[in-house]
Amino acid sequence: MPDSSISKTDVRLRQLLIDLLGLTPARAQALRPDSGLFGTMPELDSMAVAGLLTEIEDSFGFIIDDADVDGDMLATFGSLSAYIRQKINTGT
Amino acid sequence: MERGDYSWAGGSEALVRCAPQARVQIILLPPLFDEANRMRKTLTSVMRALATQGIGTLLPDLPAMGESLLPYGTATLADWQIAAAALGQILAGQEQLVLSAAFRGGALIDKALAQHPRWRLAPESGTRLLRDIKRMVSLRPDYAAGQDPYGQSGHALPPAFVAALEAATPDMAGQIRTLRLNDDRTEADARIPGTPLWRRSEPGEDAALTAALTTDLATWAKQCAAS
Repeated sequence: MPDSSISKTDVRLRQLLIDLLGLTPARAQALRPDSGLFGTMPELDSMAVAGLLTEIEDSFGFIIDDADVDGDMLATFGSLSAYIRQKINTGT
Repeated sequence: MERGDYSWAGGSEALVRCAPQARVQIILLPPLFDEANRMRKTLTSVMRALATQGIGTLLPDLPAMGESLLPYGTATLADWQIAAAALGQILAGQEQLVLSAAFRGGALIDKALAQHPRWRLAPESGTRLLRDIKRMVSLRPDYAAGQDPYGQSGHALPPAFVAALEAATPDMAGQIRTLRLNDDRTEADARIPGTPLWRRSEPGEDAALTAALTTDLATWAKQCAAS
């Protein structure tokens, strides 16, 4: 996986977190692959996750299968970003 | 901004109007469910801004939503379309140009105003609106598969209503202008900057979004008036 693909996905994911959760740009920028999301980031409750997933669908142009949505996928910034890249690359 | 009400076949609901004497009147159809609350501030700001440009607006509460006295979940999609048609009737025969602007799920009921030019922001199908609610509930630790997700989320929706909404898509016939946000890759006539406030838990207001909506609605309304 080229680095540019990782960074492009991460830039857009950071922007979505800013837009949807009202994170400051500084907090979004500080997110690392192992930074915790669902269950760790206080702003990200189940209602916010529902909005985030739909926004990811609209923004990246794929459909998220409900069976894919679990604690592992949403655990960290890195796991969510990896899921998005995998969806883009497989075109599913 | 004037508060009032309007009558439809099932009763009477609240309404706010801005510049009711203006020659061009836009009926705003709000988003559905929680999204209506998240967008209320933005819609009223757009109404005030359009009034300064000589454009009048009406913003209704839909039956069984907002301040309605009908219990939540008792109105159907058909009721909402009847209410939208009743709003058109308020303006009928007034020598005013009538337009409609539907936000999100509001696009599922603007068919009742299809004889007028229509405008939409990020229109959404019923399936996707319901999926947001279902996802919200399915992530909760106490949720067990098979439970009614709508009741669990505080949206006590009758099965017949859910079935009708699942099947509902925005009507595409006639003259419709569709706007979406820059980040949204779905098909649109134009894209505007702004954040999807309807998906934010604590939406606040986005000045860029309000300004972009006002500019596009005003330009479109003037084009409709000139044609």
